[in-house]
Amino acid sequence: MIEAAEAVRKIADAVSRGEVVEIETAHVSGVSYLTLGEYGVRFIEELAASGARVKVFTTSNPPGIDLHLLLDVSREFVTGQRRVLDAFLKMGISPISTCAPYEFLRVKPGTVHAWAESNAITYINTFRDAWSDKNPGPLALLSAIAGFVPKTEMYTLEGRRPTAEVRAEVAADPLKAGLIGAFIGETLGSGIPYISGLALNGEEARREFAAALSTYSSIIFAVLEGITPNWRLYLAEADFRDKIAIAEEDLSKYLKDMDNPDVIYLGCPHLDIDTLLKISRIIFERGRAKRPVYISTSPGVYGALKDLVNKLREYNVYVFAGSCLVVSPYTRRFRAVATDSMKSVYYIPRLHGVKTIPCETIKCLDYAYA
Amino acid sequence: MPTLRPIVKGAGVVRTEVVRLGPISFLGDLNPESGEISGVKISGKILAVPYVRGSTVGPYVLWHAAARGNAPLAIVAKSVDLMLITASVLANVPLFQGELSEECIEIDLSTGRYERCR
Repeated sequence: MIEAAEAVRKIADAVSRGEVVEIETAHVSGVSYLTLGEYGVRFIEELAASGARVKVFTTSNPPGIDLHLLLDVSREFVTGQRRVLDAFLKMGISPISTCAPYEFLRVKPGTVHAWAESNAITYINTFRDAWSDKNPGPLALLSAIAGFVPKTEMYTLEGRRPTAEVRAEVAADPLKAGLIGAFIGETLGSGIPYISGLALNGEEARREFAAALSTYSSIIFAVLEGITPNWRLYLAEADFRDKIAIAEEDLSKYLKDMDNPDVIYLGCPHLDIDTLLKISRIIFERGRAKRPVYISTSPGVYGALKDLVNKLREYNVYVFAGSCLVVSPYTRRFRAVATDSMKSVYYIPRLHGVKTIPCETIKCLDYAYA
Repeated sequence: MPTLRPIVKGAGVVRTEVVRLGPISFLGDLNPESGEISGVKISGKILAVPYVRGSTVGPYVLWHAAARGNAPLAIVAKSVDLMLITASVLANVPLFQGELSEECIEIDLSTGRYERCR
């Protein structure tokens, strides 16, 4: 059987000349029974059965079932998923099933973390200057148990040096933030962009930017001038090898005219409380939606807004907690999903064979009333 | 004698066939129950690829193949990343960086020194 500390050290031998660094928190990906499959589940079960326990506060990604079973999936799937969640609980992993753990964890600049889930890694690197590499799901899990992670370049200041200068004179709502993230990601592919001129309007735009950037490339850290903590330090350290400028027309290639959606999906990454309240107000003003709107959020936000969530159902709007349409087989019942999430636009067709229609949040809601 | 750079070391000397494939994703491409990638058997052989791509749950699939006795004897990749290294360590499959043009080699799994089968 796998011994976690030994496995992490062996990985460190291969990637960081054996050097490891202690971590403050971990976040585990590879949770949905859909992506893990039987093999992943058995690995996690064996690890739990061996008596392994996490040494640091550890959270986990959304599973393929939501907490209140709004998303109807097969009994077999529920059974498989429960096995994963039971093993996680046994190992002491916090049952906050979210892809946005940064909502609850105030990780500080310069602190070290072993996170998986690309949007979350990119978010804390970029907006908190908390340090994490892109750890594969099982490595984040083993590191949580070991209490340390291989000291790869992303855990050193030199390794976090910006490599590309990006000029973006754009003010971005969530969808546009996602388009910019996707464009920078696709154009550069890898490295660390230093971005000036970009105004991200609100928390939701930050989340969409981080999610899209890391979905469309191997980039997991961007320095945003005036926004990223210690951005001046990173500018001083910068070693620019690439230079790009972004104009509005560069972003239009992702927006295609497509047929009508049969459902609208918001909340990838999980919606924060302010955005959910804002969207609710719009819905209550406009009345019952003609097409169903699905919104995913974290269990914490769901719990805080339970009455609102119940009321929204009468408006054909379904808020669910702890899962998302990217990792749930429920998504396969739809033909075309309109969404403001570029991460969903990338993954939903690939994982479920369902079409996606990218739209700005407010235009996505227009589809719901069309 | 040519040498491949050992990334995850193994032990012993093996003589086996080399299976060369394009970039693969363990999740989706590798069938851990049969040890096949698109109909080509890789178990007990040396798998040579430029790199691996795809899902972060990929290491679980290689681990499962190994648990079923269907893992390759070693993996040789032109470029290695954290995902491939994690997969190799978990599955206990030696990993080397480099390229192979031979159809069959005899390789020392701890040093990466090899020669063409005679």
